[in-house]
Amino acid sequence: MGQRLIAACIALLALTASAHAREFVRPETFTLRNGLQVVVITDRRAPVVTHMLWYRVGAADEPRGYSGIAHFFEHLMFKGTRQIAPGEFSRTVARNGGDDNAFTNWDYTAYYERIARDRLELVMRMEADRMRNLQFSDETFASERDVIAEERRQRIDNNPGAVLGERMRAMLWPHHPYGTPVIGWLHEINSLDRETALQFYRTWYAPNNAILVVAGDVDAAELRPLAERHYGRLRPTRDLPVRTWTVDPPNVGPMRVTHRDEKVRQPSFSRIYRSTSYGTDTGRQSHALDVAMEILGGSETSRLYRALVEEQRIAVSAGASASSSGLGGGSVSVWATPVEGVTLEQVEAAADAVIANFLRNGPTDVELTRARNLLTANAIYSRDSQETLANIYGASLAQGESIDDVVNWPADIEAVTRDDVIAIARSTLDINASVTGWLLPEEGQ
Amino acid sequence: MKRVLLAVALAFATLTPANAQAQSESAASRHDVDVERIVSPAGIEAWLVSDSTVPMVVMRAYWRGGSASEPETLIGVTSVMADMLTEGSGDMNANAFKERLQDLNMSLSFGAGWDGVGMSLTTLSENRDAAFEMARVALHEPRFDAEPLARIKRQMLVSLRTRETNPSYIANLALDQTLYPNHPYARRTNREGVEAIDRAALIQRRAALFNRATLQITIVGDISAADAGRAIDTIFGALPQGARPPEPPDATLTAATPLIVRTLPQPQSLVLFAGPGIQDEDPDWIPLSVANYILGGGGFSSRLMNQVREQRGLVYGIGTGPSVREHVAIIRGSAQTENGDVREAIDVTRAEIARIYRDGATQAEVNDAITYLTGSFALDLDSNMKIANVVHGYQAAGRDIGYVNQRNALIRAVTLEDVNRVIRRLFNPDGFTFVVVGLPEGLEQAAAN
Repeated sequence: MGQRLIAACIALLALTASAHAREFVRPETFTLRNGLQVVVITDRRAPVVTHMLWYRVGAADEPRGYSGIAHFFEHLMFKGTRQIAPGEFSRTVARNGGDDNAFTNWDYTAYYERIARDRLELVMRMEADRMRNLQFSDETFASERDVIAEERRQRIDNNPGAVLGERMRAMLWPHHPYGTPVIGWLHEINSLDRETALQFYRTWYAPNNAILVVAGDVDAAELRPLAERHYGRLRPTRDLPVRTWTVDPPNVGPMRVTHRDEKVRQPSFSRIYRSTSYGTDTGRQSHALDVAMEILGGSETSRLYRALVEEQRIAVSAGASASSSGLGGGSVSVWATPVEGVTLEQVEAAADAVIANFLRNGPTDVELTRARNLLTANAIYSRDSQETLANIYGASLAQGESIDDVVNWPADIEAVTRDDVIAIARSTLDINASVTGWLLPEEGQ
Repeated sequence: MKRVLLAVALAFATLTPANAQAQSESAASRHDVDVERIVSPAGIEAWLVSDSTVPMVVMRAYWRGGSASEPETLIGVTSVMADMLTEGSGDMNANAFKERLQDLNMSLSFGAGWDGVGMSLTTLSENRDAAFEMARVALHEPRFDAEPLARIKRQMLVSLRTRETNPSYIANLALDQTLYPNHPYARRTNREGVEAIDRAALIQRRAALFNRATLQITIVGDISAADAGRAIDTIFGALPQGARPPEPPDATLTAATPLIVRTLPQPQSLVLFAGPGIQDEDPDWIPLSVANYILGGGGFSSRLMNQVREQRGLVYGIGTGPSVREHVAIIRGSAQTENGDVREAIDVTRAEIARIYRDGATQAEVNDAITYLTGSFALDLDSNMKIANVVHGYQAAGRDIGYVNQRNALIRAVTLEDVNRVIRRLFNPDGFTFVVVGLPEGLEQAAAN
């Protein structure tokens, strides 16, 4: 469920570019007749491949009252088909020296296998099979529901900070599906049924709603016949729904929430604001937002960290980040944890003063250059990992961007001006479009 | 309709040969990494994997002597000293140093473990020499300024509080204090120790650890042997020869405690379990990796994952693995389950350990483990960063330079007999201590027994 995947690491691939260029070499891409889009990123250093199938469906597409079904379904995809017994998918991958798993976001659901290149066809055959031929029993469904309830407790319910974060999102997106947790609300997870899950599958899992990304020791000429053989035979879904999501009413003012838990030993302050995203904007607003949040709170040289942690010495940590990759909008967050003896009022006021100063005066030229430079360096570093590249291309395409958008990302970051940063920071860091959260111990503790 | 059925039938007609090949070796299981031993002009040895595909260089260095060997009154000093190396050096204060790292698009960090201190450097080729110079000043000219030291101590004091309700901290502490109660591995930082750490202590700790005697270096990426040799001398050339610092004695494990419960108000309990293990130079180390894969190491394929998650839905995940420190070795497992299910999860886990101890593994399981472990190894070697992690890990563990390319052959040679021997040696269910952190239900009687 990695929300920050793209914001942090959009990048890429210049295997034939000059050693110093911060640019992406275009991956090879083609589309099968049934609509399946295929992206191939070649890296010959090791005889292995990363095979990922990304579906353009996620938690934001769930029918109201059925939260968690997209993620639940991700688990069910490992429960077998007419040809593959329950659990046999992962066992077969492992028996061939491979790893497999899957993950779900509001915007997408992705399945992947990492395996020797001479086993690529095996995983393509099995992945294509389960796109259309899934089968599972009522018992399997019930047992997996228990597993997911444990997953929810592990990720959310055991962690007071995560519980607060879930409440804050629900307030920031009161009607938009991004306000619903990907894993689902526990009472709805517990009432999900097999037929709804199958309906979700039949509606959305189709070659014309998927992107195949293969990275590693393979090129398009080698991959194409395999893709045609295994995925090409799948019939497209003719009546694929258009993804339309409910929209939130206008913000009417700042929102606040306090969450107390007896496990909390150190109070903390956080705030989230609604923002633009790469999936919704039409220009370079999201690029400017990434630069702005890097300067405001992206590292230990940022405005927030320097002011609150180093100069005023009232916080042990402070920062900000943008979650700007969404198909249907984004958010930015600001946070601080006070030192012993300092209140949340004090750190919140200090963070607000830093933000106000940033909005009034903007970044310095040195800060701007440093932030752009830092972000675009990722374009080179990400070339070291076929997994990273596959994730960047897969997520970007599933979240409404094009290959060109990814390829041009470093140049677009370089083009961000001081005025761009000020404009996006002023429109985004608006207290009237925000939720402030305080995490506190139980009263009297 | 018929045509569709026919297409499906044809597609799966080819599935059989693929499955039949399942037990065969993949091409990737024979993948080698070209590791070369180099010696710098000043006589410092390093391991080098030279590959210019991506314009970057990764460097790792390791010295013996970690938090287990620091004075009782200064617990945590090694970690603070390591952190302070990147908080200002030469003519750069902390902020200037970090801005310089950012402007060079490099990362440089030092970190302390129980048994040693590591350095990790990553740089783009275009900034290589400037990056090596940053590592040099960090290592040789740290300022240990008062302000960043006070900041790190403030941060540590807050972490002393937050760890009080951190289930993983509580469980690991309980395990360490139960298994080897008087060993430094069972110690933790405390307020008195944090407050006692001062500049003089940092200087002393730095001098005690950084020398050539225990230095091990691995370099991976876009650099020639000659350039790597020069880089090594730039960064490490001025280190004194020194000697290996004193280390704590080997830990002696206590007899197993069947169940330890630590109360923490949360809906799901964390369960840790551990029993005696073996060091990685033990002849049974490789068979143990196979045995562990079968019991609890193999992701979705392990017996524990199958019984506890797949069959009963009790956990999201459960796993086991050997855990080795310089002076103690254990087999360690973990799972998380709803408070009401803790008893059943522990019972099933114990029963599975007892079953493999009683009946051993099967030849099919051993074959599957070997094909997975040998085939998947190349997945850990498909980037400079991963190669640096794996190769430097072997170097720091005292392996031969060729080990990375011999490891798969050693695993292929493991027999069912080897696996069952190591199971009898290490998977005795009575040897395991279980720790539960949460509000587990129905455990009172078990705890009393």
